[in-house]
Amino acid sequence: MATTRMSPGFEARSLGVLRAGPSRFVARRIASIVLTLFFVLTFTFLLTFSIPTDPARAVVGPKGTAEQVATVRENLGLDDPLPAQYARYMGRALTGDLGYSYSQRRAVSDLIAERLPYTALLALGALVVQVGLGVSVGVLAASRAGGAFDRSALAAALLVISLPGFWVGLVLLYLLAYRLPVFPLGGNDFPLGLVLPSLALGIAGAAWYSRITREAIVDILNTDMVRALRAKGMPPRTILLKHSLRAAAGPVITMLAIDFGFLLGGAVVIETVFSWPGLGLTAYQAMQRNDVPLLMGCVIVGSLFVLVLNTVADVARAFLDPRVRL
Amino acid sequence: MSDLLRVEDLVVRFPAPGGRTVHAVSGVSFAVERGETLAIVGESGSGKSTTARAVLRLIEPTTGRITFDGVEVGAQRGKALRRLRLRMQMVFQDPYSSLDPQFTVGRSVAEPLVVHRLGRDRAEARRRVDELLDLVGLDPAIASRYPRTLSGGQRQRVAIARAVALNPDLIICDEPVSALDVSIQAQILNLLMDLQARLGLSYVVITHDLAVVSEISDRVIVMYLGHIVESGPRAQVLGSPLHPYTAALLAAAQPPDPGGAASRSDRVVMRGDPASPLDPPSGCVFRTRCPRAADVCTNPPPAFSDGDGHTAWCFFPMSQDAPGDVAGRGA
Amino acid sequence: MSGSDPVLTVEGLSVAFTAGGSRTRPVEEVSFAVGRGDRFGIVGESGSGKSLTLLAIAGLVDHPGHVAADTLRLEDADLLSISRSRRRAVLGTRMSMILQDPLASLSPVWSVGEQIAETLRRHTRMPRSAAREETIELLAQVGIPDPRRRADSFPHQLSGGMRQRVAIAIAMSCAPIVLLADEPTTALDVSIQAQILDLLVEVCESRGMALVMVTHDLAALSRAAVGVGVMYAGRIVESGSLDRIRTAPAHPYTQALLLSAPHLAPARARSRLHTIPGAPPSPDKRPAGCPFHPRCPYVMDVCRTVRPPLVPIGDGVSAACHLVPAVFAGGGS
Repeated sequence: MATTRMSPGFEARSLGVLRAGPSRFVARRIASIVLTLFFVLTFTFLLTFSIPTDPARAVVGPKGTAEQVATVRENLGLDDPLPAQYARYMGRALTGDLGYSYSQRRAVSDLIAERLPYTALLALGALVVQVGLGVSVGVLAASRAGGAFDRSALAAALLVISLPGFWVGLVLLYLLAYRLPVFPLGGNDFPLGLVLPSLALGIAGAAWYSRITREAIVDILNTDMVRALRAKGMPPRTILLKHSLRAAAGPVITMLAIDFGFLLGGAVVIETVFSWPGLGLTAYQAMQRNDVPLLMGCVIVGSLFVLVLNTVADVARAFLDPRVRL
Repeated sequence: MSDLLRVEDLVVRFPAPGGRTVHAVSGVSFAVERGETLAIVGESGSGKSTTARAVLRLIEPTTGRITFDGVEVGAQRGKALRRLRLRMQMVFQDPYSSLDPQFTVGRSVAEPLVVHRLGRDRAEARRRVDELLDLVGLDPAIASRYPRTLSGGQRQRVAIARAVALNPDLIICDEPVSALDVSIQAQILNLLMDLQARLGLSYVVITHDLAVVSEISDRVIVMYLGHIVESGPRAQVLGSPLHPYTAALLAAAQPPDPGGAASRSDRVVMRGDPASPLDPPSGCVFRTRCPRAADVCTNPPPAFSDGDGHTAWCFFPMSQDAPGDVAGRGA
Repeated sequence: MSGSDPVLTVEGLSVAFTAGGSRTRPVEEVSFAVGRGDRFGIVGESGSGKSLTLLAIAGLVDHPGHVAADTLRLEDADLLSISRSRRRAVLGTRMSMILQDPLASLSPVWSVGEQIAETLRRHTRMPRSAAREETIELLAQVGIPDPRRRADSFPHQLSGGMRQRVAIAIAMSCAPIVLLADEPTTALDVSIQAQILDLLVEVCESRGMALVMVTHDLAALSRAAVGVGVMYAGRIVESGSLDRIRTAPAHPYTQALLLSAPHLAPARARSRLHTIPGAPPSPDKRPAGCPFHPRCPYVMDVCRTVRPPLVPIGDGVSAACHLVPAVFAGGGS
């Protein structure tokens, strides 16, 4: 019964590779996302009607004449009946045309395409901080639950969570970009310019993840599963990392993916503090200038990311935990 | 008609994910007479608990007729159903979860009285609660305590007091002693038998424990995968089982005779694991594990009666030769 | 017990918990010895401390529990004083354990094959492919059909009986001398219980493995054990061979337990069961003197104040009761 090649053992097979049904799952999910997006688009469209600004006036500017305003109104089709405007709006959205930004004088889609990579980078940076720092601290705290490190980790987490994000950002800027000019004072330098905003954005999340990870692992360490592993004579590191962490990963992964989705929508405060030209800063500027199309564009893109990342979260969980069925 | 409860062709099916169906109960018929104890024996997946819940209409039967004291249970609605429910009560398996931990014992026992608006005032309800606690052998002072301070046996007594509160005719006990220590099981079984004599109760006792069946029941039905495979008086079913499944359960439950002739391998031991109610075998559902199975068993098995109301549904009951050879095949 | 030297010796084992200001001893002065290939069953009800005894032997009792013993020896290894790394080497190789609920004790995220193989790789340093082949062989030995395919299944995909077979495969993978089993059949269906108990007996007999099995189920005890220890309120109150204890129990608790347990006796007419009044005490509320005295039908004055020691009373039986005369073992059986 010799095998012709070395069997890789069981570990590869244990990576819960998607079983029968993933294509059905993906199809169902895509349909769901499309439907949700449809509602988001409709909602944002209706919302634009409740904003007191007159878009035509916004384009022309405060110094424009009533005639100019009227012309613009006609050009933008703002006097057309509601269903016609709606149809036009949806039609354009489907082709990726999200309108025209009054304040920046450019197509919204172009602006977003330009700014999105920055937001994505920042989101990734923050995620690295959250997971890297948060999960490591959580695992260490759980492995010596009740000890000095665990207690200090809790205190630190509570402290960090209560700090306002912009304050953390400003303090980091002050200490590490001004007093000790290690990092740039904001702007979109890469990679150094990414470090401080990632830290500022990720640190609160890291505190959350450290607590979640710690709780999940401590719970698992008290189960029969761990008792049985110890009865097998498995070393603590294996019990912690190979078994407990993986069994605890479910809630962490779910939160992670959802977090990522939100981060991709733009972190307004941090981007503003660090002048990081991502979607968050864009949205903030749009708000300041009453630039409704741009703002709505950011909202829609943000929603899309949340929806997609939710799906990714479910797939990741099924990948890691074979009990989860799609 | 002396039958208190009559169940005819009860079928309960549940939808399962993936468009499949769980065939929990597949055509079960039995009757319970006044004042008697009927035991329903089976393992997990046999459908015994589902049957009990369907009788009480805690689950809606898919098809079938349930008649309680001449009244058809399925046809009742609203107030009439509530009145019927007064007369049938249930005691659950786990005394640790069947009592609301937020309620004191007194409140749990009084709850049925309150819900059905029996008892004119609080003082009378209190008196009744004391009476009931005394009836089940508990000190009435226990009424102000919470379930978490009580032992398993005490909690089960409280659950019984609660079930008896409405003076029901029938009590269905779902594994009433399985979660209890051995020495406490005897106390609770005695209590149930005493209450039966005092209050004229009828019981349906659902259990997997054949020893409990032996101590407490008058008649027994044995269920496997949603079907009744054998039914009859206790002494006959347990003493001279007709169906191979009953025989196998008895063999599994009885300790090997140390000085006895039969070696471990001779006794009827079932092969493998219970089949799934999602995909029951055709014909006789036990044929996949039965040491006496033959080709003909893919057809629905006929009833074979021993007289005395002792019946099994099998092509090769234990009182006859097994197919193929005389001594029967062991495991 | 076989005439050879015992492989597991337990003398004066106690487990204490200190919580707040109070101290409880769920296990007190437990002593027994198990020879090669012996099968020893520990039977008791809740509050008897039987499961904790097993965990203490395996060294799995954590703070705030504290284990103490006069002797706790596995062959030549002193289990009390060995280092943690030595203990990890012992567990899984010379002594292994199976727990009550295999669904809870197996890791849900790894295949059953991997869980067996990791034990092999850890303790014997086998290469992966050899471990896989050995795993499949073990699965076949514990009666799992189609073992090559089943090795890749996850615990939740298997039935309760099969999961427990996997647990047994893990436990026997490195050929231990002693197998500890904590209520191995409680979570299983009746028909499967018999299969699993028979499997345990067969595995122990074929490999010369000793078995220490904890249970509350008298039928399970009868099916698997040869020697029995009856525990009550943290102590062994009677020990001896299964046959002797079943037919002529010496301690009043054992007598009452055997009498009151529901019996399968179809010919007998329905009658009230024999009961033991009261309930087993919890560890923090143990009576003084003999812990069984409040429930004992033969209680004497001395029982209320003086705790009876566990002494041999002849025929290989020991009992802890003032009523039963001690017989010096010098006279032989």
